[in-house]
Amino acid sequence: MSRYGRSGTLVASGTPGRSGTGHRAGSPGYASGLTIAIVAGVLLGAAIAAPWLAPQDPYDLASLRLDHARLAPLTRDEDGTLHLLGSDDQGRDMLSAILYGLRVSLGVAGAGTALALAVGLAAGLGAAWRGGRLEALIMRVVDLQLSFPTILVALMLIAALGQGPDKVIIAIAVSQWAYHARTVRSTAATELRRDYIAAARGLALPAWRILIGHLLPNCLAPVVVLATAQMAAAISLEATLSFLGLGVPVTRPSLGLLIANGAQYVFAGQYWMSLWPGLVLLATIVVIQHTGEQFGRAVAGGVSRR
Amino acid sequence: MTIDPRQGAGVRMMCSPTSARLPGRSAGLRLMVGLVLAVLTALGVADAEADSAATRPAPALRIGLAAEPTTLDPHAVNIAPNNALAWHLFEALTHIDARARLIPGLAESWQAIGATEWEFRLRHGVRFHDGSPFEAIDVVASIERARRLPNGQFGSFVQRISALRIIDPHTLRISTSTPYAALPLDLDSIFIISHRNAMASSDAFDRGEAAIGTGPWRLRRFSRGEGVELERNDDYRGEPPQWQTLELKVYSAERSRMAALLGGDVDLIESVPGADLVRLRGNARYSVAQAVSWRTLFFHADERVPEKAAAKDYPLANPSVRQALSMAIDRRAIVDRLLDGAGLPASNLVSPGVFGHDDTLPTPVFDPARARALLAQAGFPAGFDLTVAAPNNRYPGDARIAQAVAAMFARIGVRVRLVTLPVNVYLPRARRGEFALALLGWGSFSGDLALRSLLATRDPARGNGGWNWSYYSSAKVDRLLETAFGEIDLARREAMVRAAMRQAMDDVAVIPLHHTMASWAMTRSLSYEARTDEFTLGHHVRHAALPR
Repeated sequence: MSRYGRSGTLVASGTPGRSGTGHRAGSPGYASGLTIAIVAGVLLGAAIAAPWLAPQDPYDLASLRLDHARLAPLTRDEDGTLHLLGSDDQGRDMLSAILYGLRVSLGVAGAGTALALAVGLAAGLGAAWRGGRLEALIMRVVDLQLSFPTILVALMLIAALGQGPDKVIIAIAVSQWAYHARTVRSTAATELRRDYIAAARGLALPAWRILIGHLLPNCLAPVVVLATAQMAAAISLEATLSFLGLGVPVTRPSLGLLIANGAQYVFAGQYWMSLWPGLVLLATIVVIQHTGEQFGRAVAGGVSRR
Repeated sequence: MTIDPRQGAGVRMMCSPTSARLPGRSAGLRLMVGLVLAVLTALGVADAEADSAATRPAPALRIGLAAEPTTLDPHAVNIAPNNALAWHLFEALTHIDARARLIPGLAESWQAIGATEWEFRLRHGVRFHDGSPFEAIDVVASIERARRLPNGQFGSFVQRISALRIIDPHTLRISTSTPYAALPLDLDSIFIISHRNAMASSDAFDRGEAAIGTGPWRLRRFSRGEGVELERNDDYRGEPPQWQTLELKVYSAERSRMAALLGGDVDLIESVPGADLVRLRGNARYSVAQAVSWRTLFFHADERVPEKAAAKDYPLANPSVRQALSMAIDRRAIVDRLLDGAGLPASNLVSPGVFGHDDTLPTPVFDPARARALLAQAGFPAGFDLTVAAPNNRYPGDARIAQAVAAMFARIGVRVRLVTLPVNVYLPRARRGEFALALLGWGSFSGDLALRSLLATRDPARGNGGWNWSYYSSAKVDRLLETAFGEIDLARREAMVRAAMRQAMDDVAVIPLHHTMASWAMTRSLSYEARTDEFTLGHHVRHAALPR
């Protein structure tokens, strides 16, 4: 937690890591936490190291051969290459496709969430700091946006902007910034009434220094928790858009698109094309959700001891 | 305030056919359903298919369609789902049978009585659903409405009609501005409405007030996104349907259509994916029907040279580049591996057996090495960049086919930017000419009509080249077509159409892929004769036990 609290109250709230959850080695919570951490490490490592781990470059169209399509797991194609998890309908090695797909899913969702966080922070802090009409305006826009389902906002944007990973990132950011803005504003409104802000004002510090140096760090904790949860939502939003054929290009599939492609063959008993990416997607979302919850508990613990 | 960020309303609005089946559920949920299905199948659970539909006696027939009809107005939007629905409520002067041959409809006979005049004898004793008799005035009203309806897409079928003369209530003479032998074929596309509804708006049809025809079914309910309910027209002039009611439901995703059949939600589905056909054939509870359809899939290659480029720098303007692209495509592999055999590699713009199909045209050979050499000769030894576009929910395997083609192009050095879009987004953009190579599927029961729409020089005033996304223009093809339309003698006319077909294919005006297979799957107690035109017609679905 110390990362988020360079000044103010959070730093004093307790030791990092152990403060909120209170898990100790040997407790069941510790074991599940450890499992989650290991799975998270494996997934992240796999995504980062995909180009070195993958037996095939699934984005190199020229390497795809239809006569290597839909091979069952653990079979060899005519060239003798072993397909550990089988191959998909275009002749992509499933393992390679999943490794690269995980990269796309995490990258797009991560970038979208980061963008949403940045915009939400700016809007929320701005609203709380300036107050008055600007605050009313921003918060009404937030209310308006929150009254639309996320997927609807995303679909409308994709329809207007066109397709592509950058468009998905924008769609994620636009459909999520409002959550951050609302959380930041309410936190900031509380923080602004605290003594350290009054002290900073008393020192006649410029506004930007109070905003960035004092207010921002103390508003980060709840919004970072929220961002973690939103990251999971962003991954499934990207997967949903791709599943509907509106997300990333088919030549650079994400996990969601791999699932969609494979779903064609589920009734024909060729399960592997959507099962494996499905499990990886599931694991990714569970890991991130869990991490978010742990964050949340840590922060809540910190607050309660304040 | 609690907000479910993934409520389904948006999905339903944007992709209505897909999500119509799961009202109110979210796309995210469907993703999860897909996952669960994958898991179940992996465990072999999906083998325990419900057979309730196979055993239940059904005065009601329920059909799962692949695409949603957009309107009940039979003169508005010329797309297959609408036309298929219209055939339930309405009829035309001429019909085509399951093998794509022209047969009498509301006209019992017709003949040319001069170079530019035809006489149609109409059936006696036919009544509209509202009880009023069918007469020549209804035909005149229907043709006029098709011609005049704002934004109506059936005007091109009556473009050449210059005068209509009612001789008596059951005899009609139709004059054309030029000799036009394809008139009886064109009239197959003009649905006959009652003259009382000649001024009705499309909305009046959709509300059901004006959806009154002479067809075998009466409308009970039509609501967009929720399917159609019909009931038997007991006064039908021909053999009445074997079912009291007919429910048409839309499942645009292949797997949800299959799930609906296996789960007993419907009795018959259309457009069955190849991989599933293979599996259903081995299942005693279901039967399948399949035929080479009239639909050909091909790429239009935009030949227009961009303004600032020299002709020699724009690859698609060069026929030998188009030849190379065609040669780079392994059609056999696409049909066998992607479609599980549910297709036939194409050499023509129309399917074998269709009027104007030239049997002597060879299927383009797959030869990447020669394709590469051709590119080098044409001045593109290092290949070039190319945008390839396809819909992703219209034709069987469309996006997957486009992706495989992109991979095949990559192997001859052509760098593809692949764009796949839902068909309602894709079509307008393709029509605006945004894509260099654009996938299109076209169904036609006559080569001259297909050529006129797809490859004749663009001329909106005469109804020519409306879908010519290639901007191909050949004086020879235009001339052959024009002469053919004036030729009453069928054999001579077909020879001209074949010559035009050959010329267009020699010029690689389009890059043909394959003819699709039309397929249906149904519970064992039903039978359906596979139709070349791919239409799923409820009145032709029979009890398997009853003789035809």
